[in-house]
Amino acid sequence: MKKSSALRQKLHSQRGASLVITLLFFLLCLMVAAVTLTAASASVGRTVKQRKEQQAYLSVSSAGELLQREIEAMPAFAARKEVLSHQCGKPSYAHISAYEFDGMEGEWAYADTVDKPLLESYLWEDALTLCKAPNTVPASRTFTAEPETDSGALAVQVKMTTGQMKTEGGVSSYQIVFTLTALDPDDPARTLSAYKMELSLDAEITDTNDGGRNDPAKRQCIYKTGRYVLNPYTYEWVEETAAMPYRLTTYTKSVQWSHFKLTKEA
Amino acid sequence: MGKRLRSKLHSSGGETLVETLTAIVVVVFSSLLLLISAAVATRFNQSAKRLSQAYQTALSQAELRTADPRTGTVTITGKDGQEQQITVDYYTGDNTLTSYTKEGS
Repeated sequence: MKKSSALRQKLHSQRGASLVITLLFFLLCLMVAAVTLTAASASVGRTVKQRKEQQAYLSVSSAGELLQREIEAMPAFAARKEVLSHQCGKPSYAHISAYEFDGMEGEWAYADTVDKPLLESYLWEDALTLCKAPNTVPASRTFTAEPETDSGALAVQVKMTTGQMKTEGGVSSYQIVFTLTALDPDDPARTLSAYKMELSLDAEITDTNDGGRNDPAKRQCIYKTGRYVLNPYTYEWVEETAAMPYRLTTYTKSVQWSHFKLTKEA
Repeated sequence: MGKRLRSKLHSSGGETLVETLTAIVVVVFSSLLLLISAAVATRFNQSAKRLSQAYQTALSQAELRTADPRTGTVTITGKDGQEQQITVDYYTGDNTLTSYTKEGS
């Protein structure tokens, strides 16, 4: 009874109340200050983070565009011609006035992938693999596009996957998908995975057009050359036959780029 | 001696004055804390605003390629160590954000 009365008295007592109120005020001030400072510093931090993300985006989109432009400039893809074929060996005569190929016309194309720039050799190798074995799906390749270190742009890892889509009338349509990922600037061995981009290239490819000319045993071309004969001094046409020095591959081109698909990874 | 000390401890004389002074010190300290934090927050916000404006400028210069181009190279490196160098134009906005494109395109 005595105890409860003392407690009631203590509760109703106003001694030390001002101290309690000021302590509560202090607590309130502390909380408001903490919230204000946190919000302000977060806004600065967000701007810095946003800048880093934006750089990853710019690096991936720049690398994607660069790949597209580079591929479009390649002879095999850029020439808007239906057929690109290998040229016959040049006639041995110095005074060539005319020469013709055995039904073939075309520009210089490649016999193999030696001496070609890296990206072009990758595309060509995969195209040839599909030519030789239409049902084969070449393994994915990985390479990196590294800007100059002082440029500020990030290195981008590119995964190139070539897959056959369909074959109609000897023409194989295939798709090359480039998947681009920005690399962490602080640790280039680690994938930042901030942004990813799929860049698709739909193309058509066809193997040699026939008549057995692709058969190494039958590879030859007939050409006519004009030459001067000194005694008597005349000009005559000579028909010559020579072995074709290069593999004949007819490359039909029809390239369609799909739109860039840039996605931000979670 | 012990008696005097005990009575001093049980006495409530002068308590109000100490209590009031302590309360005043706490209130002043709290107010100062609030003021300082507000000033620091304002400085942070101004800094964020400056950064944001610079970021927008840099972004438009890099993305829209309005910055002066600088010719350089991008190296394509294969797994086997083979390399191909491609000449590009770098567009760096406000010395921070950079984009690039094939030279002349």
